Amino acid sequence: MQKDVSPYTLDSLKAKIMSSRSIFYSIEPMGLGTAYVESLTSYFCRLAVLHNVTILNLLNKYFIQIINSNNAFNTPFFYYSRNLNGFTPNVIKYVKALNILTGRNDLEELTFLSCQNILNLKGLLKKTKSYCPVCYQENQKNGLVVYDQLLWTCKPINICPIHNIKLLDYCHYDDCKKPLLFIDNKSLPGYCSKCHRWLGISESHINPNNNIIENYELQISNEISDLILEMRKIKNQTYTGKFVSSLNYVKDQYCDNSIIKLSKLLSFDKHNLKRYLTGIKPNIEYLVLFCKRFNMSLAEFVEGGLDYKLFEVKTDIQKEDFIKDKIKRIKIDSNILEQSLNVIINQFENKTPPSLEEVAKIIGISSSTIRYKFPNIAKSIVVKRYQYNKKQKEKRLGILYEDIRNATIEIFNMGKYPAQVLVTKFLGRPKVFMSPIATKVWRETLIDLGIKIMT
Amino acid sequence: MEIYNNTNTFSSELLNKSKEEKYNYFHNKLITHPNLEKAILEVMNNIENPAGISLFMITGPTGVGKTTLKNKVEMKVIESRLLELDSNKGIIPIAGIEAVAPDAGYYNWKDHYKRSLEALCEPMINYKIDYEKIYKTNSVLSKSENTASAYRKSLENALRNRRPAAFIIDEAQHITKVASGKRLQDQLDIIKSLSNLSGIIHILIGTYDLGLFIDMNGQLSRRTANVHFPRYKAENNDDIRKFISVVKTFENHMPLENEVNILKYWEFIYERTIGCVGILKNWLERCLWYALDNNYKTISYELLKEQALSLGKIEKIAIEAIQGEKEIEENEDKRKELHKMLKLDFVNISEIERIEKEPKNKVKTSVGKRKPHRDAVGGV
Repeated sequence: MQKDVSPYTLDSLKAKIMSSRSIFYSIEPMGLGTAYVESLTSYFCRLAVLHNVTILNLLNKYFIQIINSNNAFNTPFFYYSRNLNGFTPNVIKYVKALNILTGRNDLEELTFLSCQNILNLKGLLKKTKSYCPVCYQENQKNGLVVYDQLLWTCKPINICPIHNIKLLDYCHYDDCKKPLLFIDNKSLPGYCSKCHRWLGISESHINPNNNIIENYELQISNEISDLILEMRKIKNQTYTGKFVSSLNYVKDQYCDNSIIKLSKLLSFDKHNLKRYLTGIKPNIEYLVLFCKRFNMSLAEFVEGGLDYKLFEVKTDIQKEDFIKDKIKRIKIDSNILEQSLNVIINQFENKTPPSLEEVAKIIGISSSTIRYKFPNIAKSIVVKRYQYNKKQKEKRLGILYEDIRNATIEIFNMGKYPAQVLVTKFLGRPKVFMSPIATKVWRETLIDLGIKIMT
Repeated sequence: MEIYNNTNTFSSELLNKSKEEKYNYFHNKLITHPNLEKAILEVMNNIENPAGISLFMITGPTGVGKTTLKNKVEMKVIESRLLELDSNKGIIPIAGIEAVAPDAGYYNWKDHYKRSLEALCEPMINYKIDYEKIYKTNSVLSKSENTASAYRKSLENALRNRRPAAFIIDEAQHITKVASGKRLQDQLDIIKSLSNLSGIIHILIGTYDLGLFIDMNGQLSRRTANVHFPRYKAENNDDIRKFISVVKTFENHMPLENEVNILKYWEFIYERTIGCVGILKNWLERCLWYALDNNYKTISYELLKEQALSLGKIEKIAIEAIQGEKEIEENEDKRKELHKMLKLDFVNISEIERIEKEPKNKVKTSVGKRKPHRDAVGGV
């Protein structure tokens, strides 16, 4: 039905309409309603690219007021940007702000927000971005929008279910090889934000030797992509009660109420099981495995939670199902360890003294254990390394100051005023005058040469 | 003959209000008249069904009411897109700017892009960077490098994402004011490519100078449509009757105590407006303000005369208008010239028809004779 605009003049109507417009373009998120939906961080980047502004400007001009942040956004934001695809309280704030600024109401679907009642945040998100180079390449070839999928941000996902290839988590160029952040100040989906090169590769150029996919990886990627597809159904539902009661049922019926027996039956670590029985939400990888034990898919779990009726005792649980579950504990013999420590320290007598981390790596235990067990040895290792580094620095700076002095004299001999710019160019090292001592050396040289310092 | 007669008048309550309100009533009153209606219809048709047209020009003499036409079109577009506007908060119904007269001999495109971005409600105009440049040249740009290319890319994105029904550039003849002929040719190419890349039709509104501009370039002419918004001409009786009815409508909408009767001076009115409704409205606005200021009860002939444009000014406007009209009316001569150029006059239609009707000669071959072709060799 047409609305009546007769009471308005053109100016008042225009003003009314313009005031109701969204500040940013209301761009459609990619893959909405599919398993390959775009991630919130990718949406953020695309929004900044389409508005031709940097991410920090975007955040500091508009988000800061809506989010009520006291501090201006700065580079640390990029390191924590991975959390934006999860479900921390901050994510709700950002999604709300983005919804206001773009005039949309569906941006919640670009995060795991709707899974917050069934999943543990631990083990859900990757620390750096991973991507499928073939997806990038195909989207670009077909003239589609290049974007990062929410699925790729999930920690257990190592492969692209569309192309069945391993995801990459660093820039694939040999001279870059840097890990990628989810959001960088000028990041463009499909490009490396460090070396600014295109990350897409066509399928025929993928090396098959680097692309051996295990059955477990394929299964878990299919399960999680199904979860993303069904995510809308979860909204505000919690299955923790049902989850705990199902575990309790199995414990009572098959394991004589013993957690150790339950852990053997399900092939799960008993400590983790104890935690889950108190109501702690499982992480995504464990949830997939629990569902497997209960003959369910993750999509079925989303429909109604864990169902104890479906549980069957399985004897043929494969080895691959034990995932990083049991922590190996090594017994440490203090005497042997002390001896081996001394041996290692003596090995480096005339070489560069090793750092505590390096020593720990050689022995195969953590550095904190050495610190705890042998505080004196640990201290002596650290002090040795520190003194060596200090000496090296002094040596390096000595050479640098000598270079500055020589360059200054040489430029003066060429008949030019040895300005700092010329000395920098002569040495080919742009940041040579960053240290105040370098400037002092340069000044002293000028005084020695009898030149008046021009400021 | 259709006579446009708007008999609606103002309400009697208006007479008790302040003079500013009375003046604003008349000032904001958009009166439609036959030429305006025709032009609006044509523009709306072109907006709704562009059919390959990316540039659309509206030419007419000064003061004929082109800006009113623009306002009317904007209103109509907004009206037709109200539902869409409710459902999608990101789009803008229609946008436009007024081209600024060049001050340094060339049209300032950077300024044009900035103004256009402002018209499209673009945020952070002073912080634009060119992502393509950064990623192509692998360079690190400093904050100060807000180049024209960054603004241009931004404008393309803004047009693509805000999806206005059309982008209107008023006083577009200012774009034509450039020093060299080569640059003149490039000017509209810029707008054309903007329009093509963003897929948004651009409407240029300007005086007859704009009409000259279109013939510059073949490619451009193919992509442009032109609407002529003429004045009412004295040599045409029909036009004069329409003009008189417009004067009558204005008369009815002047909020003065006594009835305004200026229709009897229509000849004088025509002389000082050369049949342009915009000039007439501005003139009557001046008269009304003077009358309200001095508590006159109606508008007299003396007041009309006092507030009229001087003869010199009107003569200048008339010369420009007539010159422009002449160029547009030359179309028939141009057509003949074109026929001559394409040698269309030498084509004999009856001869073509005769050739078409004649059956094609078939090559007859005797029975049993093989057609000449290669036989397949090899194989089993």
